[in-house]
Amino acid sequence: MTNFLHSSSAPRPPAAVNLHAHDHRFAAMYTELRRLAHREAVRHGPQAPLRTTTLVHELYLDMAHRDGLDFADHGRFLAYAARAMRGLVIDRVRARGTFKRGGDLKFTALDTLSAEELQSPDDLQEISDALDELATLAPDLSRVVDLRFFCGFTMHEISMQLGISERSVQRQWDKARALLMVAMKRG
Amino acid sequence: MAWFDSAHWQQLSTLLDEMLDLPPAARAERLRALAKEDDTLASELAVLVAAHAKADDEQFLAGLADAAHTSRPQATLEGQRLGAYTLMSMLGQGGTGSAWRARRDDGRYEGQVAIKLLHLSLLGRAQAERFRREGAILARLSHPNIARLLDAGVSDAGQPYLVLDLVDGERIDHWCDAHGLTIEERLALFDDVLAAVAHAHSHLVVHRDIKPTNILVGQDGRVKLLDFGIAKFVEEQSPGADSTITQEGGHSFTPEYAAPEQWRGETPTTATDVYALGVLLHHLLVGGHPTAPPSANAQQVMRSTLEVDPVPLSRALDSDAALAQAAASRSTTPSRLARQLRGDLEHIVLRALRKAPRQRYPTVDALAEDLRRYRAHEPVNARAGAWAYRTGKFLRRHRLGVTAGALATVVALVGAAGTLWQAQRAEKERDRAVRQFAQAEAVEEFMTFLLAGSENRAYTTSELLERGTALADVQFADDPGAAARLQFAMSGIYSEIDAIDKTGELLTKALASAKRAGDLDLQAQIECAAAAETALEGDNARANARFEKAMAAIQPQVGGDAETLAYCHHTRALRAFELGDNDLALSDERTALALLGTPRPGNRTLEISMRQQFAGALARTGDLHGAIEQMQAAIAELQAMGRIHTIGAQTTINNLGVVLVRAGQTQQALATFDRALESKGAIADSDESTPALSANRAKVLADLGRGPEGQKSLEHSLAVAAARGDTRSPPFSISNFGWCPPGQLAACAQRLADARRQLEAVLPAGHSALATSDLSLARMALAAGQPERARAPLERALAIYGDVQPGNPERINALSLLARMNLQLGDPAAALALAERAVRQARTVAKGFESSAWLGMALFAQGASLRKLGDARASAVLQEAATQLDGSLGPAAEASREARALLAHPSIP
Repeated sequence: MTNFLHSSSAPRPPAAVNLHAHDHRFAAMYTELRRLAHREAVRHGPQAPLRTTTLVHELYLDMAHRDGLDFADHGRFLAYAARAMRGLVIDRVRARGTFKRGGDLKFTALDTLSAEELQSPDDLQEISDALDELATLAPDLSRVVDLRFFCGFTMHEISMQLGISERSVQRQWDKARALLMVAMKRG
Repeated sequence: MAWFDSAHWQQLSTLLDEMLDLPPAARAERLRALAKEDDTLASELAVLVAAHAKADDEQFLAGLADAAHTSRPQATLEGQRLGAYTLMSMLGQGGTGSAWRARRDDGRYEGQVAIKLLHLSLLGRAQAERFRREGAILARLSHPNIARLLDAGVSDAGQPYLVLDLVDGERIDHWCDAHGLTIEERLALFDDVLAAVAHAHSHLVVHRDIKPTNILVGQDGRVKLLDFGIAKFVEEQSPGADSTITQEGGHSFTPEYAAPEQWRGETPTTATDVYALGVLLHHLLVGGHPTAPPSANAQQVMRSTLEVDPVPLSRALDSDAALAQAAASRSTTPSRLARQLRGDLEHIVLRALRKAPRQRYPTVDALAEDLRRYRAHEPVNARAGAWAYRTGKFLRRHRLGVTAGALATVVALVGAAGTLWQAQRAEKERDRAVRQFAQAEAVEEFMTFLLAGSENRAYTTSELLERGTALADVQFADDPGAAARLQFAMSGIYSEIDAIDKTGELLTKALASAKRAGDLDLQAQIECAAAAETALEGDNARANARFEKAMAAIQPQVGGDAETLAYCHHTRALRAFELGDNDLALSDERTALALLGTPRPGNRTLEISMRQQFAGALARTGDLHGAIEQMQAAIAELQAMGRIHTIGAQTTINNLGVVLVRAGQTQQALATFDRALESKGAIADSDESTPALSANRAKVLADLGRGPEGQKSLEHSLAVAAARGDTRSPPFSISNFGWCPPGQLAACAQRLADARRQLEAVLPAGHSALATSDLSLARMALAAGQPERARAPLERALAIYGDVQPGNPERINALSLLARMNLQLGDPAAALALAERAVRQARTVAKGFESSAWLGMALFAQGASLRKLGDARASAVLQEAATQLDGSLGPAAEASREARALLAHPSIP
């Protein structure tokens, strides 16, 4: 006979503030993000740019209406949202299929971008895996990478959103990159 | 990173900060020094520093992941439509959003407007909701000197925006200087400003950010105030010198115009606006700032605002040059100006700038009145000094903890007769809600602050809680309601981590605070929670007494308290369930659900908890029908809430499947497990529940005769468990699985025996789960045509089940299997006797269900026995068996086919 291996966990008396950190929120977010992105694609065409920063904002507004989806602070929401966005971006790049396999991860700034320098989804996946690892150790650091590299927020915007100084964001960014280089065996 | 553990990383991180702070040339030296103390650390650090340098060299991650196709919204907004408006050109951009010139396209409104697009991210979660509400409040402000908020909305895309009068004008201070306005003219203009602010105050809206850039003078010389009450949403960063915006915990204001209480993190009130107006008046009259020196930074401004007495107007222009310059831009002579600045005007300004809000003008109207008196050469009230606020009891200050997060625009006004009646009306309407709201806000912000920790270290839960408790004692010393909520919340956390002493301690504190605050609702809730804790300690009598007391306290009150009572019953039900008092659990949960009725949006999660709990209790009493009903309701609710792809929902769906199996609805159960596993992809960390789900699914597949498929599922379950280091679930999973690949009975038996041994080590003797491996073995043996090997396990199982209520489906299953064993051993008479017992019991369990696998299997055994005995009743029984099996297992299942085959061929023994 099957047993209640996962009985409904004993519900707790509702406290004034909900501080549970369950990852089911992430799942909800990712699904929602996909829905929003899909809606964008329907509206603007599948080739239209993925307006990542707008989507994060939209996602926030959507989530704000969901009963029970608590985030103890905005920074945590962003971490989840940016992580979800990362998945979406990689999916997109993969689906697009127009890339050149860059052996070295040499990126240049947007304005001088050429076809050769587009990212390969495999590279992005590698970074993503390393980020997930990094997140178990220092979630603040992976969050900055998600926000900056995947979502495209500027340092200034990130500092505003997280409520920390730009200098701190920069420092987190630097540390994150150093750790990633080591994790990806490139440093 | 696999090679760092968290504590080690903390250390490294701090050191890395140090290193990165050093110029590159100095790093080697520092590393060497460090190597002497701790070689390993130093070498790890060296690796990181080198990696950092390399990352820079290679421009690692310098671009964007999806650079070609990630666009930034700002650039694409021109020409965009937003509701009935079309964005034309950007007016400005700040940290909180951007402002656009826009026009309305539907011909209803000529002219242009200003649209402010707000960055959602800077709105708190709850603020996004209030945005709309407050838009409605602000839109009610209609005054010739207020730039109207025409519309506030959220676009289809979720973008919140404000539509305002577009004011083409110049800042008031620049305008005054550019046009050389005299003192009297400036005062007249200022009077319009005051009228505007007073109007807003009478609508209970505080501006919060009065400053020259928010007060424009148009071509027609009319003054317009911008951004009433919007300061908490939007900032404008103009290139001017005085617009350094500070963010204090998410709340922004302009340093030069901020009142002392704003710096201290208190809620802005009308008195705050009065202060800002004082600064403005001083500025218009003599230029410069009343307390801060020129080119002071925000820090210095703050200090001066809090500590330095404002310089009186007559002393502000302390040099001949300064006086001359000021006089020039006021179209007057230095001596005349000096005379005007002495006396009453001076005192009016000083009174508006008092450090203590209570000592300022009680209302903007009072300030305006004094200025009118001054201009009419009548005596002013400015010299009244410290006015006693006898009506102080109407002054509500919502202290919101560490971060200044005041979000309510409702403010109770103080004092002067004209505004008193407004205050009373506002209070009656909003007092309770606002108070609770403000307190909940306070707690939430406090928690946010706590959890934010600091950049350099993460706090452990207990450190956080200690910190929180200590801070709360200080912060909320004069707001017992907020303190109560906070302490209650923290008791919940302590309860989560099973810190019994702390839980009790905080509950006691919370109760005391709630009593002080006179919040009966909250008291009752806390009492219930306390009763629940008492129950856990095992003192049932005391627990019950506390529950009764709490419930009795709630009963007499009216309105809105059904929820609290419901919650109390639910809490008691929880404990009763845990302690095995099923009847109480049932009745309490029933009561709780009835009281809750149709839950408000905030209570839906609670309702789901209740239903799950109820279902569990029902299942225990054997009311499987009821249990299924409740669980389906809970799942439907989860679906409606958009939370179906969550671990919690998955768990519920799994449990529904389990109950369905118990109820003999095998096919439905499989569908349920499939459904749960389907949504797995969308759920992070769903591997947590996969071992159970896959194992359950495997078992059901085996029951349906789809052994090989089930095997795969079982293997999946074991693989995931292994990957997760889960050693608990495998023995359960294996025990449940009753199919063996042909010819491997010995190996399967061994496996089952091993699993059983593992279970024996963790379960009490006679636990029903121990019997499942026996049943599985029996089934395998029978399927392999080795009925003798089924005897011992079946007898063992029955011995265990014997102590359980007769209605236990597993017992029926065991009896059916025993019957079949006897059939295989050639003793149809014994088989029949057993089968008939099974059928009798199965009929009870199957009540309320159209078909049941238990009944089907029992009937099959009975029918087969009768057939063997040559009894004519066999066909009828087999017919019923087939119907039951078709209905519960599905026609494709092995047992169903067997039954039908037997029915169709009377000659088959």
